[in-house]
Amino acid sequence: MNTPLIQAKNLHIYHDSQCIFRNIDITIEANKTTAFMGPSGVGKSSLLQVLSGQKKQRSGKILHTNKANTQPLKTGILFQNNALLLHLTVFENVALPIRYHFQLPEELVHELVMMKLHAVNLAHACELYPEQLSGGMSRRAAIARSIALDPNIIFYDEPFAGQDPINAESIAKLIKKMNTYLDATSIIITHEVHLTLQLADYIYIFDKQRIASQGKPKEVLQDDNAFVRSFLSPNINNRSVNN
Amino acid sequence: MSFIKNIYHQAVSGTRHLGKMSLFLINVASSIPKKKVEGYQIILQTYYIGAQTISIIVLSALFVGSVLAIQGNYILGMFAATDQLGQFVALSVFRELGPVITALLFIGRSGSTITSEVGIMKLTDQINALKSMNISISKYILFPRFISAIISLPLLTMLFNAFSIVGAYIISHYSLRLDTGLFLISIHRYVSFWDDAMAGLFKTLFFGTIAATIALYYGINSSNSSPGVAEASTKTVVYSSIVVLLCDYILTSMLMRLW
Repeated sequence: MNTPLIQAKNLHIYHDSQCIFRNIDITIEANKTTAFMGPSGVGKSSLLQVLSGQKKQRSGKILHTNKANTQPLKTGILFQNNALLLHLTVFENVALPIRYHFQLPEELVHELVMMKLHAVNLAHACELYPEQLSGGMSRRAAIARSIALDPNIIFYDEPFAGQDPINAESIAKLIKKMNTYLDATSIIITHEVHLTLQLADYIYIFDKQRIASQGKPKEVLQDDNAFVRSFLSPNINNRSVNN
Repeated sequence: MSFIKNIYHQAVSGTRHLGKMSLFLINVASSIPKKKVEGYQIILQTYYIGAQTISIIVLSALFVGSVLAIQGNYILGMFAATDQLGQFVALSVFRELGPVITALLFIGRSGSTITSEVGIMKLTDQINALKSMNISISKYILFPRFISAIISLPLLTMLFNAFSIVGAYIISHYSLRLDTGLFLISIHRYVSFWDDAMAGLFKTLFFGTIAATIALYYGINSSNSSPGVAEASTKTVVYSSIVVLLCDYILTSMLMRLW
């Protein structure tokens, strides 16, 4: 293991009074892509909310450590339904966090926003409103907004959901690109096995309040656990994986 | 026994909501924006909440003024006092009907819009997205809508008052064939700007605060579903209307003693 960016120990997570996770340990390595996988309803999104600070865990500790160890961790979140502000254009959506947190000249804001939009190949749609975008374009606009403040860590909640295979593939490439260029760490929640095996550096598979399997894609694929094998089975053979 | 129990539970629940709403009001009212982006939202919301309500207010005011003129002419005619029609319409509108009807129209149009908009923002994770970007919900979403409602309602009431008089004037001249000179003179002579018009406008500050607080409270606390947002909008319209009418009674009683 390299430098851990987030270390969660003995986590107990509840949704209302229902226990979702019992006593789990998670380690997120810096500058790597970690994927959380599991069947629908297992509580992956709740775990993401806890790790990103949107929700409190019942018990356990979460330690955030960044490189300098002096500043708080900057996070970007891609929501499952993109959560773009509907009354703002794509440009305004990306510009909002920049304008809110920094007093920059408008020319500089424009330059920064266009840089983010170019990175996600959406510069041509900067004047469009979210309702005018296709599913893939909305997802890319939401990614552009999540990287607007150059976060240390980006949380992606079901980034491939509702996307056709070509779009899903291009979003996977985009996530990889963001990690490389922003020197960021990514946490992906998904049940898209094929793309995740190619993209992720480390995978956690959850089942019934616990971690069913964890490791590098190759290690997870070799797991003997019956649940893990059935979850990954359509993708086990003849697929390229990230070593 | 169960009936009494039911009333008890309703009273406890009502008191709890009232307490929560009061704390919510204090929190929102004290979240004064300091950033340019937040300040811009106030202008934008004043346009959405206030300016876009103008057409409804003007149209309603013309009809209310017209009806008042017809009814006033009938009632005053019994006492051979139709020359006092202007005073009758102006006093009714400035003191009571203007502020109350404007507030009720405002609740129906803008109050329900605020609740649905905030509810949908919550439902579609837009609120969570703003939180994830460390953007203050109170300053960016709630306060601009709150202050816009308080600014807009007195201005809309002024418009309502003016167009009610216009409506009444048109009807008294073209339909009732009354002397319009007497109509205007009775307004000028018997209607006080401070005692009548300002007293009515003073009440609208309270109505605006009530309408905005209830709309935002139910919007931000709506459950995460489409029926939840619809229910929240309905509650906003029903509770705001009742509270505005109750507040009107209390304020009118107090103002009649003071003024």
